[in-house]
Amino acid sequence: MKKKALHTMEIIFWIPRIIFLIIVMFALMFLLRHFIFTTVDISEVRATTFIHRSLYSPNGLSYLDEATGRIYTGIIDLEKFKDSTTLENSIFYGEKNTEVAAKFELVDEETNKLHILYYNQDKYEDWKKFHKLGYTKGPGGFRSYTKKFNVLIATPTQKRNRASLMIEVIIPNS
Amino acid sequence: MIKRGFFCNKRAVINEAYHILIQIFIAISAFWIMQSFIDSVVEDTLFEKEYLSNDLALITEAIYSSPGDIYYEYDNPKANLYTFNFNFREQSVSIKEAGAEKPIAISVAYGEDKNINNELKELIRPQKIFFKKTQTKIIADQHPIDTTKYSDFLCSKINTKKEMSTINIVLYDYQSTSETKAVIQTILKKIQKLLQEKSAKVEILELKDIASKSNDYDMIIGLKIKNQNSNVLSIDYPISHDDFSLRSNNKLSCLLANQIRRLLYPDSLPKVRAIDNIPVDNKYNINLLITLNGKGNEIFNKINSDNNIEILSEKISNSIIKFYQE
Repeated sequence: MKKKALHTMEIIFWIPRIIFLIIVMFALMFLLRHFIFTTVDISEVRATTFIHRSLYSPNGLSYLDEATGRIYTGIIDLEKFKDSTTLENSIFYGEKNTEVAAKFELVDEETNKLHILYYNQDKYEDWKKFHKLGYTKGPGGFRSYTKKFNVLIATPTQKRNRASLMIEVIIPNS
Repeated sequence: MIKRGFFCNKRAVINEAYHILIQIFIAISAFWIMQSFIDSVVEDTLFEKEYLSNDLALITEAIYSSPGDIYYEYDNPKANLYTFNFNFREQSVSIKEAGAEKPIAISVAYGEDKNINNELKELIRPQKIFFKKTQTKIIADQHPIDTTKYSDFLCSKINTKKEMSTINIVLYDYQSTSETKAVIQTILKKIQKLLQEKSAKVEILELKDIASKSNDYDMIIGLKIKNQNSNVLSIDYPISHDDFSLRSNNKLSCLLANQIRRLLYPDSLPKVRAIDNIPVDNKYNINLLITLNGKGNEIFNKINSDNNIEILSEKISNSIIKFYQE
């Protein structure tokens, strides 16, 4: 083979080598990127924090003794529960709340009466529909967290009734 | 005639040398590209901003949810807080690189409590973030907020109003040593004088004499200075089945605790307790024992220094006067 032909062959052999080199570089970059996480999923923690805040905060649903300033966790103030603005003022995410929505169901076990309180009711109803349809993962999905508590109800007549409180919190994924 | 130039040399080995040079050049280029990529990953602050914004939003929510007052110092050595600026605005925490030409901010929302004044603000390159929440406000700052870590207790609003001229008060010195006796007696005498100026009847008695005297005392207060292994104020009162008595004792204890600790115990929480072995019989409306515990002679020396005997006496008598005014 002539020299020029040899050189040409060598150059031609270099082309696939360079192509493979580029493929390997991209593969390495892809692998590196794959193990780098820039987002942290804290939706369950947010839901738990929201529940605790609604129950334990002085401006939440628990009974507050005005004389001592002490919160009685485990005792729900029925007057506060019936007032829909209690939580809206105590946990305010802005006029258009797209962070959290919740439903509180309080069942008085002695009178069998059901009291329902919504937090961000419009969004709760919308998001609940999507959640039921199975949109739970990825952007545009919604996650639901439910917790149940055995509580007492503080009534205006100072009587304490046994009750159960079910809280369902819905949080969007993005 | 054969042209001279690259790859046209007669000696094949020099052509090989050119090939090797080109290969080295390609290898160095590939290395430089990979290294630049890794450097960009290392310098990227997206994860830190994402983490810090979520963390601070959750901490703010948790602080709002506390039943009482809270003081919290936030620090994260791995995230280098001083490289970022933090802003708490419009119910969200936003974080961006400090000093960057085109900073990219990451924001995460938190729920604000509209019943509490919001004094969360912008923090520039903080080393730490200090949070403080009381019944009326929440503050975040990059400097320590208060020399007194804890704010005042919220005292009971029970009605204990009475004319001072109708009040009978007994003060006693409990188990003082030869060292502390003189100081305690001085304090008790000053309290007696201040309360007598408000027309109250005040006696200073020995503990053993109190039981033998008339039962018509409205208030019995004992004072003690004690060597302990920590500096802490204790105020004890008897356990009672009478709700009014319990709450009244609690109210006066709270008023005294708020006053005394600012002078002598700014960094510790006082112990206010209902106990079953109070030195004086449990038959009086108000029956308290104030114990000024100190590490070694620390508190004793503090009381003796400056004008603190006067100030302490004033604080105790003002608490008693306030108790009967509300």
